[in-house]
Amino acid sequence: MHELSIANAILKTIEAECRARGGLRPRRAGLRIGELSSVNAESLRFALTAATRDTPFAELELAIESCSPRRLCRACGAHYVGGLLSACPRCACSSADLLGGDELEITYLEVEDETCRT
Amino acid sequence: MKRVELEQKVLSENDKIAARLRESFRERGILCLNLISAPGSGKTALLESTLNGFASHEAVGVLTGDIQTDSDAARLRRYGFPVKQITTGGTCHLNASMIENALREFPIGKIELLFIENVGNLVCPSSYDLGEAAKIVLLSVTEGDEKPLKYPGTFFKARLMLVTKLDLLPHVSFDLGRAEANARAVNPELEIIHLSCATGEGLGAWSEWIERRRHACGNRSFGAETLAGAANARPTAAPEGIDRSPGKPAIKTAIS
Repeated sequence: MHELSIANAILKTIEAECRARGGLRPRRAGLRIGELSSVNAESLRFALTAATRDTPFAELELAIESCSPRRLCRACGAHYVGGLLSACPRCACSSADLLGGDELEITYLEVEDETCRT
Repeated sequence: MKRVELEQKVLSENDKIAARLRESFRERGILCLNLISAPGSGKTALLESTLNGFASHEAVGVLTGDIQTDSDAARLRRYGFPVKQITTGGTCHLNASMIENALREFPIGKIELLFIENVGNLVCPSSYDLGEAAKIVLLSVTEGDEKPLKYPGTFFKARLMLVTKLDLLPHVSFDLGRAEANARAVNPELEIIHLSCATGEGLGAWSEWIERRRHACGNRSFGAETLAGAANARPTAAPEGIDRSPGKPAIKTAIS
């Protein structure tokens, strides 16, 4: 259910962007999904297929880039890659801010050269 | 083919509305708390005990989310405070737009403390900012002490963890120490309170936590009346079916 709401939010954003840029026809969308975003890429693909059926976006391809959690140690300031249960590799402190890895972003669109005139 | 760079957050629309809500809460001095847990951890029971502890003049309100039914709102309305049910019709979380819409039909001008009871789910609600001052996660002792490790996202984003149904601890294999260690492995700064709505244990600490947060956001204080003491000095008649006499927690009768 969660992925379906995410799929709808993605479509709404793409639709608005295409409209705002004079009627672009998107063929492929680049998505960045953090490992901590609680979104499963395969479920999202499935939800997007369901949500775009019989719409102008039915042929839209997805290019999904996954990204790992990036942390900033609150004790020693080290940057490291690690999940919410990982400790700082430098000082072993487990208190760290999350700098990234929970992203859910549309990074780019590949669009047909001709804009839609209708 | 032509490439158009976007770098747009998918939930940017939600975040925009949440920012608007947060600003509006800040301006009005409203403390908004977002309660998140798995289904059945005791969010509604906690709210019943919490509302039961407030004097009737307190400016408290509740938005409660569920996929279907308005039974939670019916339960909570009996305490005499404004309560609005948000029925999501299948969506597994509340989003900021649902909160904004619900508040259009809510006496927000009379509210200083707003509880949002999220849809029972330990995954999705943590992705949606609702403009709250803090997320509070509930973990009941009947669920298992490893939950913070299995669902780290929610425990990472929460400011407070309430371990609920403490009265059942002797009957289950839940290890309080391990649950705390697991939660703090995910979020070392997490505050933790143990409580039981059935016995009233821990409700005083919960009340003090709310009071501290209310002070911090410009709310006036509860005064001497706390949840723990309020049952002794109820200014209003208890709703039908709710026994407010001291030592008889509301929940015992409220869920019967």
